[in-house]
Amino acid sequence: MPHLDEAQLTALLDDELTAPETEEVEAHLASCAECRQLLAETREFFQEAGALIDVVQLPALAPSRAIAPVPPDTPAVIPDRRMTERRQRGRLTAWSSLGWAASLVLAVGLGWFASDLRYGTSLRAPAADVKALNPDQAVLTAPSGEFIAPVPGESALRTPAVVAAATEKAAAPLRDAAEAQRPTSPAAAAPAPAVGALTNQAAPLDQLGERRESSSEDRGRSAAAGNEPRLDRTNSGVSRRQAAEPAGAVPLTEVDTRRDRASVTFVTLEEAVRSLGGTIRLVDGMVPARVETRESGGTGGNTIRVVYLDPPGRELWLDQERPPASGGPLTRELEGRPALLVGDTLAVPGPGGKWTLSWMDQAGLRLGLTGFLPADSLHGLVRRIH
Amino acid sequence: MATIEELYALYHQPLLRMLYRRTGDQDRAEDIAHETFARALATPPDNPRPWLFAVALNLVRDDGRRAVRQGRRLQLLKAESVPHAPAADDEYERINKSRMVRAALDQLRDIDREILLLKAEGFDYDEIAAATGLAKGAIGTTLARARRRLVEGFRTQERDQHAAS
Repeated sequence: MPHLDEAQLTALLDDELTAPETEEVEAHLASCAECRQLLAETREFFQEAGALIDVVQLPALAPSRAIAPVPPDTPAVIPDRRMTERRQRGRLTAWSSLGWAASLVLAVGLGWFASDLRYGTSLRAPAADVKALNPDQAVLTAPSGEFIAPVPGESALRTPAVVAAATEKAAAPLRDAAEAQRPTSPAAAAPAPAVGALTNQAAPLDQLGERRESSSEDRGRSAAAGNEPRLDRTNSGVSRRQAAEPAGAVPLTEVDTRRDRASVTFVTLEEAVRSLGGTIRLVDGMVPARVETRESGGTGGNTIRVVYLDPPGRELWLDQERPPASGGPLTRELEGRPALLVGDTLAVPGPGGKWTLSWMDQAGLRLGLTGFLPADSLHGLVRRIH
Repeated sequence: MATIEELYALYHQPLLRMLYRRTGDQDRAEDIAHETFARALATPPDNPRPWLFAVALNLVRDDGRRAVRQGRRLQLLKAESVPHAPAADDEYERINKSRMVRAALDQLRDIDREILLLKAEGFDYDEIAAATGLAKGAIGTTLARARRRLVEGFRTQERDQHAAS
């Protein structure tokens, strides 16, 4: 047998030879000092190179970047869909421009909201002042305690037909999926009995399609069953909006991704503050459209959702809850959702261009901001949350 | 066929490590890893491990640097001003050695470096061939050369550092 070459010896060290090849090589090595010498050199490089490569390890996750293991039903990878699409379509510049344009539109819209004093300025007070609000002066609270939503149609930017068309387009796939999952039994599909006037929106919120059904068909079913939600407020924006929309129009409420949805109740800011243990976070310069509490199934607490409207009339949700302290001083995990450290912001894309940013603030509140805006635009809003 | 979640659980960390060794830039490695899995989501591969690593290496080679950096959208936005403790002496030594290894790796030919890094992630010759397009029969020779050059390059780095100090 001729002398072994470096490739054969490397394959031997890498355990890539078949059994007969190995026997043949080892038999030759037993009788050839020159090849044994070459094997020793090859082994030296083999071992040293392996050790050197092992030195280069990913830097240890700094506390600011560490997140808990992602639960199974959370997207394990957050695909950068925009980047992929850009590369596929070769429209890098166009998408960047769109992003800037969206930011510009947002800025104009925020200015519009900031200048809209219909609901007074008391709600823009810092969190510490919210507790001092007089319920009678809380402009989002009607004398009955019911929430009054803003009146649609007063803004030129918010044309129901345009919003409905855009939403319809974005929601079509979701609606199809929702209809496929929707119970076929009328009894099962009927909304839960309303608990007073303020809980009538406890109908399914997790799919736009479901919500759309509930806003038209379920209303009809409820009326037929004598269970018509009480929306008889003469000065209610909700009533006016529903009256102004044609049957089947898509409501402005969008997709709810919360897995643990339970009952949803409209509350005043004071009630929300109490629920959160003495504080609440608001977006500086924006006027809340309403405040809701939602039961957090596994945690036993409540999630407060402050709902804002962006210029096209889509909802922006600022969710906040106080996690139980069992997760330790820094890492708190809620019902399988990723635990977050103070300072981290987790961005998760949703259907239809929706993004959700989640973070933990210094006071231990877990916050989430969801909207149909690019993640960087939402992050700009996060800086204004106090 | 494995779901994207399973692929992510199995291969994200090795892919990220390989990319970090390849690029020396953790942020860039994370970006490319995300982009790789995004492509796997769009086009589920039949043979995922070589496919994922081949796509990642292609991204590094081709337009990775420009496109990924310009199009980067952070999924986990970096926290602000979290102080880090100063590195201890042994940590400094490790970092310094890592830097020299990175420098030695940078001196290798692309194909040598890639085969070396794939082997370090446990790829066998068949998988290396699938990921790189190199003939299986050439892999042993290439690996031997790559290992020798890496070690020699590192030794040169060490000598230079001693000479400078």
